[in-house]
Amino acid sequence: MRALPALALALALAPSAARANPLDMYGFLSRSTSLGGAVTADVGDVSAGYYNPAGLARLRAFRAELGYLHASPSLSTDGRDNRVDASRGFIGGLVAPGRIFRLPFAFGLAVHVPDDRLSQVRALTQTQPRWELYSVRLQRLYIAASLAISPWRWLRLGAGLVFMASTRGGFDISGRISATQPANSALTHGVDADLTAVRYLQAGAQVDLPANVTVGAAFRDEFRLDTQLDANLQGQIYVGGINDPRALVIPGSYGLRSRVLTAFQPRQVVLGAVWRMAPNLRVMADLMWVQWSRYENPTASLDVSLDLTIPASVPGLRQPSVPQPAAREAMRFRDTFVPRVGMELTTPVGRHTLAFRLGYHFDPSPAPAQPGLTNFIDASRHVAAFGMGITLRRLGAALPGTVSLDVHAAMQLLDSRSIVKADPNDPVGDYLATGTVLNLGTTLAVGFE
Amino acid sequence: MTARAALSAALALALGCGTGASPGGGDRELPAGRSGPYRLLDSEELPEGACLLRDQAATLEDPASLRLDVHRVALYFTRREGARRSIHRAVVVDGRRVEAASAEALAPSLGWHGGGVGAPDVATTRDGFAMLYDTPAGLGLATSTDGQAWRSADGPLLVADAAAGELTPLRAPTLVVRPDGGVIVAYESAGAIWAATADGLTVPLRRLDADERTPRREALVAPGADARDAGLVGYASGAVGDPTLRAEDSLAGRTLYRLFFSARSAPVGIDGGSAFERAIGLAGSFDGVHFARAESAVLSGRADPAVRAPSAWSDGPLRTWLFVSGRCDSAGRNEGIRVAVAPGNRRYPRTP
Repeated sequence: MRALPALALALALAPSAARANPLDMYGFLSRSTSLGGAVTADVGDVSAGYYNPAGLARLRAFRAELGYLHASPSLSTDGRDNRVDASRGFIGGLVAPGRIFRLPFAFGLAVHVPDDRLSQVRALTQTQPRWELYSVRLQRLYIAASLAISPWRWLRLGAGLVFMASTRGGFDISGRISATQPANSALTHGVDADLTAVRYLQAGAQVDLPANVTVGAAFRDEFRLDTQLDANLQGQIYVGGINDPRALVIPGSYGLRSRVLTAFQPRQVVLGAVWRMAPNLRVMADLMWVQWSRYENPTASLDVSLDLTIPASVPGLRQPSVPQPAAREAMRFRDTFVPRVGMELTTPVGRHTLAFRLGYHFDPSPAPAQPGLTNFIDASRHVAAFGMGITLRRLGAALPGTVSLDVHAAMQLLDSRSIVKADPNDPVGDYLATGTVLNLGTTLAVGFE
Repeated sequence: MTARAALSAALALALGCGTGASPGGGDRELPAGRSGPYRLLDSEELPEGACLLRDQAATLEDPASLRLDVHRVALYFTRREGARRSIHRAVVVDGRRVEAASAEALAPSLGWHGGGVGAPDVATTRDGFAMLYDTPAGLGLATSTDGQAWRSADGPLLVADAAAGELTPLRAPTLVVRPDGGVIVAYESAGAIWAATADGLTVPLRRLDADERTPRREALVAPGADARDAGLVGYASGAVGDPTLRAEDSLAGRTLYRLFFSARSAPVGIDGGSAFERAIGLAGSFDGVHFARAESAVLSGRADPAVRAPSAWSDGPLRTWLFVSGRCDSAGRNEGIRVAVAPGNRRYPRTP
């Protein structure tokens, strides 16, 4: 167990290829998802690595969980399905508890691995309608490494780092271009891409109070992921054959610099409580503040330059002007408060346990009205969740601890939202947006004694 | 052993779920306005050359579309042979194929028709169909129960009133019939587009003033004041005309009025002389009275310098066809009905 702090430290400091976070939208692991995500004060399994790292310190034995998530959106505009990508992939992680300076301590690793793609980047114009909080944003690899301690029996503290990767790249083309005989152009090119790490902090606490009440708080910091692409074209334009000594030669360069905000996670602060009303019944509630107001317009900003050296012998030829980049509208997203509630009822079946769970949360849309050029489509979500789980105990010498199988089904219902444009000649015009998302998943957990 | 088997089965099931991958999505069936830009179909995309409808012995112009079903549209247009103008009808399938030879729908049969009838527009009414057209004497009204046989009114529906700014004969009328039976009629006079309204086509039209704050009557769409904007000539800086007005209810709960029109720039000095450019413009309104003109043309006249008189038809939520008058050959010896489409980013096979 002594190796665990070192392992956690190494993970925290090492650059990683992990990326952004689909868990805000669909939840992490079946038990917590079926409780509406209202688990900040209650979480005590691998999902603590996302919801509240302090919950890792509840565990006294090694625990590993593996599951699968499939969220299938049916999001439509004007009644037509926009075929937004499903989010699906493996979820899981482990918790390795121990003691450090005689205090209970745990290291947790939480992972979401999409099986369609590890990451997705799209550079769209701001006028193109897109489901801003779905689609690209949810196609991410997520890895979080967390540590938790319990300095007193009634207090648990935890913190962790989530890793992202930022992409910077470019390509250079140089050579000779024949304007009259393009097939005879001679060009060489090079590509240079660089992945750099982005990390953000998450932290949390859980405090046990009298009367079977626990309160919790969690903090997830903001991160933003930029993709930067530079293109440089340098060479000579030949009016005539490139080997023709009489050809007119125009040296020049063309540069394009593009920056796209490919992912953004708003800063989040969550307060929660759980009340264990009876040994087999607990109810819980969370309130989360989400700082969406810092979201910038994610559409590409372009900086284009053209420099041609036109020979003085051609007085009529002028360098063409380069297009000016379109002005990007401000996002004007709003901060939101997300209330969550959940309830879990357990019942013994022999030495095993059966659990039934219900959850709900309301997620107001941060997107403002879109009367101008932008079309960041979103609508407020009502999310109802249901789940069941069975925990099997003492299955034999191979599994002396517990094996749990949890399943969840959550349905997001998006309010119908009318997008009305101020300009009757708007290239997109008015439309009605609405939709549902069905989120199904299962988790298999193995807990050792 | 049982637990191991269950664990292995669950793991295999989970792995099996993740073996398929799908292409990226989220950009299908997205909403799109009708505001273009449009692209003229060329002779590689139409069965018989650059024009959808042509007549070697006559000029075909001023198309007006009436939706028949999701794939078919009736196209009414002017056939001009010498001084005689009459209105013909053809049925177009999928925007690019004429179903049968066109037939005459309305001929100049009454004394007040003068030299002819033309520039029609047709709308569906409670009783059947209504057609507005122009004559030298003014705008005329004809009615039909089947859209093919038309009966013209005994006199003009509206004649030019110089005091109302209509300094030239009224031409190229277009109409929208509201669900309550009320109508909006737009037409061209003196290089601008004007409008009148009534509770029905059987009662006299009242002229609309697009800006009641000014002492004189203002047109719905007038040539732009941007004739010389930063050295560039505005596409509608010379004159506007040939309106086609359509109303469309959005699912967001509003009615949007779209006015397609011919636009002509102010003269541009070229090689010691001057010339103007034609284009198709679009203006939009949420009340049918106050229109805002799009900043740029929806169809430029670069591909066809004779392009004018648009009429739009959408055969789905995402695609709009624009029928226009234009050249059937590069020299402009024969003019007929051409077709443009938006979005214009795909080419079409010659046979629909």
